Amino acid sequence: MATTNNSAAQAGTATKKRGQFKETWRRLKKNRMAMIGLTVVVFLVLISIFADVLFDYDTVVIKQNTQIRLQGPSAEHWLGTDEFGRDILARLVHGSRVSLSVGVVAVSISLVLGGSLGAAAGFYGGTIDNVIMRFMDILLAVPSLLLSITIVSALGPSIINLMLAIAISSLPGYARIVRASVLTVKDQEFVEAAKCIGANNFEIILSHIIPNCMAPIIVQVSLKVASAILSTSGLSFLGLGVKAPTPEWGAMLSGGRAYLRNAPHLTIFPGIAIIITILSLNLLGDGLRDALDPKLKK
Amino acid sequence: MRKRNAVRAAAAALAATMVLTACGGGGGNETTAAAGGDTGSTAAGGDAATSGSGEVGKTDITFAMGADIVTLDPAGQQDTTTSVIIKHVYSTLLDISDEGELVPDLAESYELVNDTDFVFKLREDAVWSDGTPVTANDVKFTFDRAKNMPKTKSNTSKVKEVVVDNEHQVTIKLTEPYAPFKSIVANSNLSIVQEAAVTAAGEAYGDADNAVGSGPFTVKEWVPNDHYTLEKNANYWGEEPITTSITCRVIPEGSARAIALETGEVDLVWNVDPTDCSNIEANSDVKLLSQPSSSIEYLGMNVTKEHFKDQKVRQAINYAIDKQALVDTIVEGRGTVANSYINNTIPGWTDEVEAYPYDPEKAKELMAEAGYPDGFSCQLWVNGDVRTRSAQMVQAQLAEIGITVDISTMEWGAFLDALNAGEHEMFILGWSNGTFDADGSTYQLFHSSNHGATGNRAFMTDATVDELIMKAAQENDDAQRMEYYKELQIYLHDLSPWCPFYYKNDNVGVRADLQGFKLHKGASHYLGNCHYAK
Amino acid sequence: MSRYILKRLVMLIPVLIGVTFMVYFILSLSPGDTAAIIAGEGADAQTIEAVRKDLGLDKPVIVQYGKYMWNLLHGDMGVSYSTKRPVFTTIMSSFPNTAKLAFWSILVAIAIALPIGIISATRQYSAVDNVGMVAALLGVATPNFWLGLMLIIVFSLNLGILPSGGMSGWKSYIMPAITLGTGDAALICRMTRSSMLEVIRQDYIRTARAKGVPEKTVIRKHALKNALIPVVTVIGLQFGSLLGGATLTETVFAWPGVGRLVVDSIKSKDAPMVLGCIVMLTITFSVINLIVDLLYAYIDPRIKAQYKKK
Repeated sequence: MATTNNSAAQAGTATKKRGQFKETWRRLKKNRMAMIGLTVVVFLVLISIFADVLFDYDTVVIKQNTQIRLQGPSAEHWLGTDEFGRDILARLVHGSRVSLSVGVVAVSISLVLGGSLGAAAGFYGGTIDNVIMRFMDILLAVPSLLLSITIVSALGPSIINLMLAIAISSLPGYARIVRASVLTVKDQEFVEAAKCIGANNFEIILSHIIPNCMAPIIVQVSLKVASAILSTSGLSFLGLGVKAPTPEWGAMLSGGRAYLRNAPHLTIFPGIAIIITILSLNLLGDGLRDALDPKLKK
Repeated sequence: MRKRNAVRAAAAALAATMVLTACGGGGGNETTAAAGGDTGSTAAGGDAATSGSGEVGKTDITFAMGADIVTLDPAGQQDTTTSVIIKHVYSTLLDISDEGELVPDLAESYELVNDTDFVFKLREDAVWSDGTPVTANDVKFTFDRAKNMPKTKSNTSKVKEVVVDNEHQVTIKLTEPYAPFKSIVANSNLSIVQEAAVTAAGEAYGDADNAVGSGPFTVKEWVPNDHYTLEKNANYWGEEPITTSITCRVIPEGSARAIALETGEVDLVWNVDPTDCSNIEANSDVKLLSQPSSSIEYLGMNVTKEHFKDQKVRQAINYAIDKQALVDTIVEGRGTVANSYINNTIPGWTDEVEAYPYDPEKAKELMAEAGYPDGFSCQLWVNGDVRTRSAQMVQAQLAEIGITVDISTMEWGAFLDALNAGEHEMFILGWSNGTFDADGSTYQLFHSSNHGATGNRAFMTDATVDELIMKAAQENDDAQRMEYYKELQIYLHDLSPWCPFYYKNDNVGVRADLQGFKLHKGASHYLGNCHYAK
Repeated sequence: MSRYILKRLVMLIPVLIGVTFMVYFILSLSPGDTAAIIAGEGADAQTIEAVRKDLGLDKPVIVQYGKYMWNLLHGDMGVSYSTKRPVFTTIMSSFPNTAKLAFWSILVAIAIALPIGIISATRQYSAVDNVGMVAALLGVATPNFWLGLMLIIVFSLNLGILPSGGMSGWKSYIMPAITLGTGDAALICRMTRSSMLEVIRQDYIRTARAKGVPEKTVIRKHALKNALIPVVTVIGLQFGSLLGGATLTETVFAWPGVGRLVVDSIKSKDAPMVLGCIVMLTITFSVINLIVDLLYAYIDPRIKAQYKKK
């Protein structure tokens, strides 16, 4: 195993990087499930970019018509209408913009912050480990609701702060997972080898340890996008998140709660949208993980 | 309240029926009550009650509410959820009957001896659940204590002193003539407490093991956030309840509450959510009882803010909002468009004003007259899911007349802070009148001395409004009072500090075969006669 | 090892101080005037001020905090602002309920997740793997309130075989535990699968196989043990978050738990109650984390060796 990582250990030149990318892409292409995932992700991104072309915001997305409220799917409204008679499909399409960005951005923030803290804690151990992880314990103990209320009152209500609130409350999770993975790899031969050839700590963490903990991280990330989207629904009542009547998946889902028995399509369709997104992200994530895995090179 | 529900089989007491109208015309206000089971209600009207006759079967009743009670100390609460249990465990001097009339409770009669002094004559047979008599000293203690408790302070602000005339008579002296006082003493937070019990428990008073009342039930246990159980008070001096025990389960989720009723896990559900009403109506095992409540839902405008200083703008907004659409959408049609600022269940409400019709054209004209032909932008602050929904409808409708509304949903604490500070432009709130007196729908909400936290969140300062409110409060002649309130409503309607949306319905779900339940007009339903047939 | 445990328990003290300090200040900074909320609707300014003085909220935050900590050190968690009941007894009546629910939920999650995760990993890209993964994802993307209400509609309303809510006997645990468990199962399952995949490719597994060790033994004895570290981390984390974050499920099933208590107390700005809950949760979190860390050592001898070195 120590040999498998050598190419990366000597890495650094641009050509190598490009070669690695090509290689990853080549391997990803061979994975059918991952390609399905990728296609759906691209499709979702395109939808959110061209949402305005598909449905006009003022005349369709936020247009209320209480005469046709809570109607099931029909030829005119493919996914039915909500409690104000607005077209659910149009709202889902426009909602993808907010929801996708909340999911991706919030998870990225907490991954980068939490991941580096966890990596540092695991790698250095001792006092640094203790200080970082106890701080994470503190953060974990503060209820996310309280944290979110404070963030709104300190920074004001906005979508950016919503992302921040979600990111901060999930920091400890990433930190702990990365730390655990680091603990398992840090004494392995390839790390020792890198130390021997004089790589500094930062290089070692970045190019040896992090790639070797990719598996649990990718799993955590691709799943957490879902919980990030879902948690927007809980936070909208605090003033975090998008303002009504802007559509957003999490809010649509929780808004339909009162109508669950009589108009289940209000919650089912946003739910399906979230599931499809998560599913495709996970398929892609799994494929990526395999493609990036240095041990799988053929 | 508990003595008047005449569903009992032993209906002989009905002979003594006397519906007491405390607010008799003229100056003399002497009222008397029949001892024993008095005040029979008239035959229950179709949707207001469940039937009751024949042999009594199961008498332990379980009902569900959305929230837990706060305390068992009457003076420590003012919310509708807690007042339910307080009403079953304690007694008040006077009470509001199912029909909304003022009736005797601990006080068998009262008299207004001059403009400011009320003499209450207590029942001599009234005892606490521990068997000791309820005395005038307890009444004095209750009112003296209430003056110092935050949640009862406003109700007793007009009380100068309480004089014990003898063991069964007190005189309550007011600082000024104050007609609403007789309704206020019926408020659950002025329930009479036992001096000995409160003194013994001190700060900790209000728990299941130290609360002593003189009502038809006693508290057996209270498990916070889960349930509480009441048992029949063996020493109760009034009409003996049929129900032997009442258990209240806290079920926060509305649809879960409705389902618990449908599966028979509970016998009765307070406050059925509008979205669940149709499910209950569709199920023949259960029944929905409905009546107009004393709660009003409204859009308030801060009259000190630039655009809203102008009465024409406020009227334009009243014309631009389709209130019927709000009723149909927000409460699924289970409410009535509010024509006025006082609920139609409350004496003093007038039908002489009409809700502003939905007329966007007229609204646009008024906006142009006010100098805003192209509209303007403003903020609308709300709290909670349902009101955010209302806000979205307001936003869409005001957009039609050029007003761009920015909705901010806030957490309750932040919302109150912002409103109390007067930083807001528009807000959506509700108001429940707990005293059943028109004063409770006007003084706190519109009098200039109550800006902000006390209730006047439109920040109204209007000499005419102030004067009418005060005149009505100090007038001991009821007919004249009602005139003042009519005048006040017509004036307010024109002034338009709010856009009143609707009067909410009070929806109660019961098992179809449950007997002996009757709706209380003030939503303070009594469960002591609930039972099943054998 | 016992020195390590002792050290970790001592570390709990600064964490507790840090947590209470942070929560106290956050609470006092967040909008909403505690005194106004406690005084109730319609209270005038004087009354609110009187309440403020009565609760000691007129003093500087640091003084209030100091007083709180002083009492806490003496075993006194204070009384709730809004109910006037002792904080400790209130928490003790709801915390065990949540702990029981969290325990059963995690069991449900593990029971679902571990087998699926392991089978998926050993038969990567097979139909079992794909179906298992989609099922797991359905679990994580389904909001708790939706699943909870759906279960109630089917099993209580339509079939009438389970109570719709409340805590009464073993039957009442079934639906809440499933609702909470399925969400966590997804994460644990995916973590198990990927971790197993990682391990299966390692040299020593290849060696074991080459030696002719039966596949079952390879998976059980060699692979699983090594794959468990990230899985145990996730289980520990999820258990922790179940204790404080099961609010929605508790609401749907009318479960008298601490999740609802915390949220209600935060909304009413009932500081002693919020802090009391947080102190309890922090202690529990920390103990769980400690157990997880000890489990690492048990599972992975290399980590055990590190502890010995110190």
